[in-house]
Amino acid sequence: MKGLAGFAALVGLWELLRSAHVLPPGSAPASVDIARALGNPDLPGATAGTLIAWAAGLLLAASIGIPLGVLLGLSRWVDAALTATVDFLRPIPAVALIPVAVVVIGLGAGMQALLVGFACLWPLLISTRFGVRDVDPLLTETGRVLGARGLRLAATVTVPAALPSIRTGLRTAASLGLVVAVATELATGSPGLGWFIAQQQQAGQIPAAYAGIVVAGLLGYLVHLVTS
Amino acid sequence: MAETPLVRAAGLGKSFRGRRSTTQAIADIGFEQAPGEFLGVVGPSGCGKTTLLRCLAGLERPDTGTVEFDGRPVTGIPDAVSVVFQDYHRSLFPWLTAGENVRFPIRDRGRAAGREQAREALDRVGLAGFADHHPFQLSGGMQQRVAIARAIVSRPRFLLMDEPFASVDAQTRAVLEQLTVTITAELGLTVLLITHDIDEAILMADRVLVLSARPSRVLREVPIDLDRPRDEVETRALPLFQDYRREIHRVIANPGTAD
Repeated sequence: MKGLAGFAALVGLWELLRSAHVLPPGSAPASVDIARALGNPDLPGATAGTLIAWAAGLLLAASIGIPLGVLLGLSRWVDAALTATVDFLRPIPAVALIPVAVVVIGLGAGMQALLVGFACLWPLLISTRFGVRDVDPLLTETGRVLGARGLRLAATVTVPAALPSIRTGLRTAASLGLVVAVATELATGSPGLGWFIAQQQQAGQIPAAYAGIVVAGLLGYLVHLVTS
Repeated sequence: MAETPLVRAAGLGKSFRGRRSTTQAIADIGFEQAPGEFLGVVGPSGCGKTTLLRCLAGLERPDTGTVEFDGRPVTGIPDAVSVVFQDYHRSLFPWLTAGENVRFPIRDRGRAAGREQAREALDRVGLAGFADHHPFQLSGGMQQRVAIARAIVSRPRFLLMDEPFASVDAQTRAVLEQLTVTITAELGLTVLLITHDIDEAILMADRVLVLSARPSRVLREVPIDLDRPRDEVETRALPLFQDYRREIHRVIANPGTAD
């Protein structure tokens, strides 16, 4: 309920700034109009497009990042061999890869999922690695004494013990993935919220463009709720 | 001892290389332990008791000497060996319930059988009805009971205990000491108990191994001829108990005079 009060205050501030002409009324439509534009028939499809790209990218990142992070956390040798590469690739903003990705992979959902996956990979990989590295050695030793070795030890002790840290990485990755999904749509015209917003803006349908932004925000909020 | 020993350690030595210096934890330790025997190991703090336990459990490889379990040299962790660590709050799996923790060592035995054996082990340590509690919902003493149940559920032959009662209050400690003696006797377990508490060793063990300060060697072996069941209050009051305690204290305080 308190959260809703904050939201109401935001809408109030918006209306106040409009009526005081701080925000130009032409480009800042009334909140009622934005709310009405939420009924735009193209909006559900666009939302689904963004969600699918996001989920596919996140799934891709998790299926590579978590096992690889466990391996990096467990093996000093692999870690030493890959650290420089990881530290080189990690700071590259996924958005900066859009032009290259379009040329190499071509437009489409696959390209979008790959970019989202690239962005989501790093927080997952890094937090899994640190989570595994931080597992209390007494815990793994207990596991060994109680008969778990190798892969089994990793599955029954190391990974569960590192789970809080992996979950943190997942949370970071999930919100980052949404940003990259929308940005990719904006830049390449892949079907989704980003493309919807750009289209509506170009067609002069300003309330609809804002409606797209509101839905993107709601998606982000939902992602936050689901992952925390 | 006429029986063939279950555990035999000979000429054990272990050093740890640090960045600047090398610390010799164990100089030379040798002993034998008969099946079913309860051996107490005491010594000044930092004397390498834990290192000894880790070598016996196969968690650490000694630099010199050998450990034999059941006639075979220990190279890895033997299946029939179980360990109770001091830090129960670090060694219980916090994401598992008490019942699941206890079932961990026997997860290959099938669901129904595993559940039954875990229930029985929890019963033994007086925690019937706590199977569904998570460790954080249990008191320190109860957590250590779970750790004991988990250590005995697979029916090991050799139980190693590393200062198992050092982190619980005195009352709980006395109760857990009795409980451990009772359970291990019922199961016919061979137990090696590491402790810095001389009274605890005398009260629980059949024989006490007194170690020197680091680098440690065996100063003396003291067979404890006190009747069982021993009592926290009555046994402590016996002159013989006092004699043992005096002897061990003296050996530790003046290792040079040990004969």
